Amino acid sequence: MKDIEYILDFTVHLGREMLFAGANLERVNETMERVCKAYGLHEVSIFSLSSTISVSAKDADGDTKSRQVSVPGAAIHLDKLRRLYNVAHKICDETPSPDKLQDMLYESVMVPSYNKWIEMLGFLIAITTLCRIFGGRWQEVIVVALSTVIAFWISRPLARAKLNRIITNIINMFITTAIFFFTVWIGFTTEMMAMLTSMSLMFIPGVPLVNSMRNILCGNEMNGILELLKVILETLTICFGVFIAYMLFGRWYTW
Amino acid sequence: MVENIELIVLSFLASIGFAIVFQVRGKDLLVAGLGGAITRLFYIIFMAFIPYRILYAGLAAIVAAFYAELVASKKKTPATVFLYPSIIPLIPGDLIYYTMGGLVLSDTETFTRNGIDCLLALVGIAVGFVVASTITFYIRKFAFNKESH
Repeated sequence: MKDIEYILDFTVHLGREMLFAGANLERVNETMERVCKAYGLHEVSIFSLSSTISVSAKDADGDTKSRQVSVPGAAIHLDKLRRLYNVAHKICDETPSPDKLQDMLYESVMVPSYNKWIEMLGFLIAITTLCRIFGGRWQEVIVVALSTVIAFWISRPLARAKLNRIITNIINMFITTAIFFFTVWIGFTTEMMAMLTSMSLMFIPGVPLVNSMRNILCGNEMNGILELLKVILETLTICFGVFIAYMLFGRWYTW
Repeated sequence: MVENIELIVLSFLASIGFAIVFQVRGKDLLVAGLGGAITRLFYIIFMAFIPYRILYAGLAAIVAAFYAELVASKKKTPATVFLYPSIIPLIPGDLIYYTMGGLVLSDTETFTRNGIDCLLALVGIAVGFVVASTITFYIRKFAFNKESH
């Protein structure tokens, strides 16, 4: 394989891993371009969406090559993202032999994630404190904590079964909203807004929502609009879960 | 006052919680939490003086982005690591709720009004990020040029 092929292979895979870990599109493009230029490639052309990356470049011999990869849906992993940025910087500074690039990428991608209990603790801290921020009392916080645990354990097998996120959102929001209606009905809670808002933030993709707006404003309109549509669709499914619960158990609570 | 302090502490905790979910590790968790607290503090201050959500949310987003850039340059990490958890206090939860309520109850007026407000708040936050990242880009460029001369 020629050097340019190793470099382009590395570049598109680096971009894919960065997008997958939650990086902003413009930073990913900038990083891929810097890597290509560090190795003396010119006429670098990058086309990327949140689902596809395509890179082409020309080497010193005038040989042009291109690579394209698809990107799976993002799963934010900021520690992995930090390592990927660091490896990109290191490569730009030191320009190691192109055939070693894939190994360096592999090492930086192999980052352990928190175990399920710590991850659940993270959700519990985040969602219960949001519930307090939105005006929930301790009763609401307890119910939201319980619902967070339930939603967390429901989501895991559904994610493992690779069930569409839309279905997962509907199931989760239906169950948790039904719990909220029930606790209001028995008189344990009253602040539906605090419970429902904090719980929906467990599923609303807040970061992609802001990123999509940022992309639209920064000139990546196509990607921004696609991302925004995806986020709106996911948010609508959350509403749909709430709607089904309201249809079935709405008599327990006057909205 | 006490309510505001409680809000700041809660924002600190919420940002730490989301930072764990986003797989931030070690001391960076506290730094991310501090970002949430600072963002909330400025959000409260701006909200007291400015009547428009798009403006005060945008200004608080600028503070969050500057904080993330500053810490990232000190720790030699990407700003995103601190930016994502720091923006949690800015998410317009109340507007999301009312928009959702309008949709569920087929109340077009509530849905439209809150939906537009929600969108404007998000535009404000996004503009805040763009402004902050543009300014830091030029500061870095200026500093780099100064160093190389």
